[in-house]
Amino acid sequence: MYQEFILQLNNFDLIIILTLIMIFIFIILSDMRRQGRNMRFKTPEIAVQLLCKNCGFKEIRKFKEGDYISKHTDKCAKCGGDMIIDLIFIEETTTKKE
Amino acid sequence: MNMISSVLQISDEYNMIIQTLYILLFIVLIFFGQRIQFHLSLLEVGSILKQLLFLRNTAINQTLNELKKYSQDETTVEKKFNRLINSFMILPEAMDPSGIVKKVEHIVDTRETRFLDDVKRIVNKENIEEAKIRNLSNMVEAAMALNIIYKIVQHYYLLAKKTKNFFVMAQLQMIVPLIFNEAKSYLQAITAFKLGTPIGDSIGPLIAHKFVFNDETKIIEEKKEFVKDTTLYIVEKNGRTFYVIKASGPGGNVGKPGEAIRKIINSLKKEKKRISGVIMIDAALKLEGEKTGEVAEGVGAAIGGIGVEKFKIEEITTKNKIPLYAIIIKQSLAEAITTMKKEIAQSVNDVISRIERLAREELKEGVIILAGIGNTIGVP
Repeated sequence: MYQEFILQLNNFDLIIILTLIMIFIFIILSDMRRQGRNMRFKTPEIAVQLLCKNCGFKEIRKFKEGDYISKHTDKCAKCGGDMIIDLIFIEETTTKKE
Repeated sequence: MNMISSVLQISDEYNMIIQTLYILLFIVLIFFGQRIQFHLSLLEVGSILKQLLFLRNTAINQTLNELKKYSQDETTVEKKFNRLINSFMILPEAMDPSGIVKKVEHIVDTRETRFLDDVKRIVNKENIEEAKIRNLSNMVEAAMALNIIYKIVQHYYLLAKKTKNFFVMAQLQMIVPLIFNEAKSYLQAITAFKLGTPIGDSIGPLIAHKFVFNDETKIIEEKKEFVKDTTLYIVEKNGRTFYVIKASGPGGNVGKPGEAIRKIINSLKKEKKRISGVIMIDAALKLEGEKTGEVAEGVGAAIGGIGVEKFKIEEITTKNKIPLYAIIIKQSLAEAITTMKKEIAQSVNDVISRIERLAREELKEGVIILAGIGNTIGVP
């Protein structure tokens, strides 16, 4: 009975059946991928904008623990004056959490 | 069609089998369709619940590790932390709403003081800065939020499973993706509190700070702890006097801006000084599609929270007929509780120029009260 059923199928039928199977697999895989994406976290790259009180020169460096707004920190590369932390902000990149 | 016809043409026996299968499928879907859907929903919500558990455990572990770093006796930290994370606050009865604001304020103040004292009892090493203790306290609060989110979702999941209630499960399935995104933001907030970086909500205090500390502003007086956890700066800019208030930083703290505004207005009234208006600056939740860091102006008390401070501001300004202006900086909930985004930080100059324009064009005479509302973490 099964062989009789298979023999009755022509090439066009096979193409339709294969296409349906592929669509089904694609839907399942894309759903799994969507669930995986849920567990991705945006890892913040925290940047610090420094401002020279003397000449107004601005510089950006990475955040260090203990930094806060208006903290006197590095020396100005241009005039050697005191630099303060003007802004602290994030520039985002996406990585997958293990 | 070709396939179906060929299948149907095989034999009458096949035709009958396929028709019977269709009828059976139809009957199964009529009687058991909802149950099948229920089990599919159960699988999806169950999977998100597992992810929520992972987020909650990660938050708790990160917070515990940070607390242990600053504790003299690491063995008792977990026990004290568990007691803290399961603590609760019961709001007063509202059947007779008269005087409820004072009752809410009393409960909230008691809770805040007790919570901070409990954190201080855990982190008992010597020479820990007050700012660090405040940040650790914020970390514990974020972990508490994740714990509550997990417990509530788990409650409805188990309730729907136990009672086999499809409608409870359907509602849960619809809302869990949104809850999950919120939970992810709380986990990211833990990192911000750990490092002590300004968060999106810190934009109000940041603008107040930038308004006070710049070359064009002359500071006349600085009153730390003007009211609990709140600093007042009396400054002069472009020939105008501003009373600027913000929470005392750089530790995570929101202060008591309502109480501060009330105290300033009462004291200025005594001195018979004219008050031209109050300008409030705060972060506000944006609608989907709106740009992060977009600035908008309006009227009213721009302040969130449980409502006590908002009530005080509205009451005192209404009583004295003082106009209340608001400038908001739009951001999502996730952006408000995680490290400040560049677009939000870059709105500072725009907001300051708007304050100057308001002072020049609309609040022409008298003293202006400027309030930077929000968590002042990372902003002194």
